[in-house]
Amino acid sequence: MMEGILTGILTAVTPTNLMMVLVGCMAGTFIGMLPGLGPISAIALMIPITYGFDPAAGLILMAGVYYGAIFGGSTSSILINAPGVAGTVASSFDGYPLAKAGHAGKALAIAAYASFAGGTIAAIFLLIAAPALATVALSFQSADYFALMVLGLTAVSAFAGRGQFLKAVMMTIFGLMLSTVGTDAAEGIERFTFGRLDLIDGISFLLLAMATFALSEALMTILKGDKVSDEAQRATRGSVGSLKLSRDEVKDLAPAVGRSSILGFLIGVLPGAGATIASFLAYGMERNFASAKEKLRFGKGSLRGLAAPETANNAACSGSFVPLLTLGIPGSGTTAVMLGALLSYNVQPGPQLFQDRPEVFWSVIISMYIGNLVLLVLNLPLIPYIARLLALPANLLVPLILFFSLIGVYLVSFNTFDITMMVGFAVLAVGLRLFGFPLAPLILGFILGGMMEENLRRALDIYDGYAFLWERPLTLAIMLITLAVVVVPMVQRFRQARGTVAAGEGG
Amino acid sequence: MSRDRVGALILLAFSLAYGALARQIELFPGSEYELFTARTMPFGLAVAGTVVSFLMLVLPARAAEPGLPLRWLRWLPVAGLCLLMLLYGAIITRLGFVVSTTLFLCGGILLLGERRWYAVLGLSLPIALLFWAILTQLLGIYLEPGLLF
Repeated sequence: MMEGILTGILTAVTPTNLMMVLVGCMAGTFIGMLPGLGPISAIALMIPITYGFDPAAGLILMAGVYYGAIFGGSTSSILINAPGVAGTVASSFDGYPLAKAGHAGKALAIAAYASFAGGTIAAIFLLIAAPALATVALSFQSADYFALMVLGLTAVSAFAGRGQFLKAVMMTIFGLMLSTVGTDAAEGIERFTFGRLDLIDGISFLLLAMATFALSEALMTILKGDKVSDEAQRATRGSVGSLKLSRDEVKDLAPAVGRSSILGFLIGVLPGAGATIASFLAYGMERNFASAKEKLRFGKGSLRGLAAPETANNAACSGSFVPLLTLGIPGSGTTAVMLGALLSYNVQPGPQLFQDRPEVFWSVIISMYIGNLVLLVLNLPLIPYIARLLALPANLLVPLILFFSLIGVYLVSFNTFDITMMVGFAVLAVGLRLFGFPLAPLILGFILGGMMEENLRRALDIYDGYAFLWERPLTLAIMLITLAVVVVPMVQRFRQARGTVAAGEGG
Repeated sequence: MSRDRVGALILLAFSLAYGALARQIELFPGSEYELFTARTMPFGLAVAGTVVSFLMLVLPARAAEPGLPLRWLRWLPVAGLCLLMLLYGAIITRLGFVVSTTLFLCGGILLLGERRWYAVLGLSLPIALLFWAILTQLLGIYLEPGLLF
């Protein structure tokens, strides 16, 4: 393991890769700060650029973009109360009141320090957890992988929010359906190609990711007529104030940061949970831990209320790399896009990655830490200047985003049919957004579709039927967890509903 | 009918159509006796999609947050941008990268209401040229020359 870590450090600290982290963090911060664009779009926009790179450099750049985008999202949450990413919504609860009270600099500094601390602690956990899980995962068979993918897809739907479960399941199925377009990998039979040569290789993952996230988000900005708010104008003109924290404030925040890091990492590891849930849970946890006096400050500019979600969302980002790197199964939309990028480099994440390509495995983990450092040392002092981007008018920005997305996909295939298909998927994605369907499960289903089919086919061949579902204890255990993920919240809601009805009748 | 139910109905129709097409996937002779064929996964997905969209249609809807009323949305510029993107795809090989990209960016910026010519051209042309230079000179990517450039 030490040898692997050393290889990772040596790979990560090469001038090219250090530059990748730097560029990734800056680009991510910039994109994450823009209204409507989150980490998925930021990473998707980077993929065409990284096609010529070696896998380690490409993944390092994308990891930097991921962190940068989360940090950029926090900045717009704090300065203008407009979280670009769901994972930073909880940061606006106390970050924005702090900024309104004239402490924007302090709020941004807390966000940066908390993110750094959360990322650092989580990177250490990742360093321990990932190899351990990768070693265990070597004993996994196709049946277990199939069950794990079912669990991952179900969990993403289960965590989609109240009233969203069926919609998220439907989007997962839709994503899986799209993955069946093209030539069947095992038998070489064409499926849903309608006789078009352009569809024989299936739908490109990059095309779908760009169309459903970058393009559709840009079109939604225009559709809703989002204008640059007064807050954005003010934030770009004025000074953000001091970035310094007092020793007492640091002492007060340290336990909250420690707790939230652990919570964030653990939530991040769970398939489907991710940064949003981690940040809300950390916020709730800190409020419960706070004294009665401090509790009153939550929502009005509590420093702990800002530090907790910021720490947790960054720790969850690191945590979400555990299933991606060790099992090859992404637990979130963002890591699904990363998996797609890795596959395009012919790198198959999973336990074998740990053994066969230690330089990729370890350099990504080490780069995450370097990325956190870059965000703290470089991005924080630059924030007052980067914040000016918040006032960029949409009528200049949107055509540029559309251009980057289109040309990114076109340059990979040089096929103009891809542009037509992208527009089609973007329109479809806008429609789905208007109907309130979440799009992350779609991309996750699409990415996992091929692997799921392959593993199911292999498991059926080995066990000569569906007996693997109950004959293999590990598969059975994972399937039972999947069932619990669906049933437990349903039972809880049913009980709650009955309780409400009973209370209504009683009183 | 609520927006959720309309969405569910469309997806139900899609799942049924997908299922019908899945039945038409050709199989090798004798593979109908196999446990898993090229049809198995699509057929399973069609069934799952039909069941889930049907459930969405019949289960009592939760009082969801009202979305933006559709008539308030700015449909025209979005439709214009979509057409512009399609047009970009159609002209990029004919007119070449620089000309088509400049036209696309100018069109997009104009469509979204910018009327200052220096902002329209001052952004579009340098970006098209910069990208062309990065792609061809720096990254060594071959861009097929069009009729004009």
